[in-house]
Amino acid sequence: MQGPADLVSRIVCRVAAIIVLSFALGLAFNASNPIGVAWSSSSKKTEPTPARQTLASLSANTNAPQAQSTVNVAANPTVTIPVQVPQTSAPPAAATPVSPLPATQNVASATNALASSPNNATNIAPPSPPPPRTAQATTWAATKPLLAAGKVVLVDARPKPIYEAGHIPGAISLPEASTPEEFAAFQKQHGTNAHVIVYCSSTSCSISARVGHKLIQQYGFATVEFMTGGYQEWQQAQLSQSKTNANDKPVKP
Amino acid sequence: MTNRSSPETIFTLIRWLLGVVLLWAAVSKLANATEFLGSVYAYRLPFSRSLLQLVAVILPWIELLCGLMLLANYWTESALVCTLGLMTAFLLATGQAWVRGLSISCGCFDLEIFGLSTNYPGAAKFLESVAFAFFRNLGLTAATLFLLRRRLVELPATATLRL
Repeated sequence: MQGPADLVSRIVCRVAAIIVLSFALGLAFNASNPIGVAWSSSSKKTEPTPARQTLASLSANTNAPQAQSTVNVAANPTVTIPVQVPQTSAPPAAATPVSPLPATQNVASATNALASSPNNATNIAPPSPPPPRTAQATTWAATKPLLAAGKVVLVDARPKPIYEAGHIPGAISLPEASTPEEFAAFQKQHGTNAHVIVYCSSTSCSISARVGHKLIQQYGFATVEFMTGGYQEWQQAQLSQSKTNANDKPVKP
Repeated sequence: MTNRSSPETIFTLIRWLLGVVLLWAAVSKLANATEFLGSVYAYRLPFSRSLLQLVAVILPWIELLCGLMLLANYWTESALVCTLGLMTAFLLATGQAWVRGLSISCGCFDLEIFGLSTNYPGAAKFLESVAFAFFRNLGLTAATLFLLRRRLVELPATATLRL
């Protein structure tokens, strides 16, 4: 009959085996996972920076979108709020050449609406406050070319620690819990004419929509969209891309 | 016969429930490793980033293995000891976050599969709060201790241990 000491030693050995096996499986899985945890050599002294500092540090990288959006507005006054456009899934900028939407019937309907109203440009700047608008949904596939061209400001609405753990390259952290001063700093830095796209975790996350609505309704941004697929959609795209690259890679002799 | 088997049935159900909870937590963390790492950062624990990254990589697999073992009733005592260690760590982490007033998502479970985040955002937010996570971990710790006591004290050790 085995005594307590044998029982304890057996349990300890098995617990150790579980931990060692978890260690091996975890490292192997993470190494093979393109969207796994990225090892960082930074120490704990690298505390998360406040949103103001984050915005300031990225201001040099985000001046281009602001300038471009200003140029676009000056060259194409119809880019501003076309209140006559039918409120379908198309965002206000659906009729412009730089529309983030694919060429669906929404573009055709928006174009027809604008064509039938030649004086639309003069009607776009009403003296009274415009009716409340909401942020429109978009996808990573539509966002990617705009981001590459520097025509949008990409905002990460997730909590800052999650942003620091991993975010879409080029995204600025502006969590939902940011202070009004931080939102105002973002507004001042990019201007309300900037094309802003907000994302959060995935399709189950509604933070990006709320931040998008807040930017429109409280801070006067004209063109704000939110990525429905969120960071997870970007990760899946990265995963697909890595698989494609692996298949296309020539076999080394 | 029925009276004798009822307590055993209850213990089995509790063991299965604990196993399912551990599996669900493990799969949620493995599916969103970066999100889980962010949640670990959010607890503001006094450890280096490298150690926290290692924890984020290893911990889901400990949960997965323990969950499978509990469901299969294999190495059950060892799995319960591991689970107790995990729950104790979770209690300390969520407890200190709650005391410090950190407003963070637990990052433990993916509520999307129940549609809670979409249909009931308020309920989802409550279920993801640190306070709820603390009391949930307290309940899971109690269940683990309950099962462990049953396996190690009430039942003969030689009759229950498996090779």
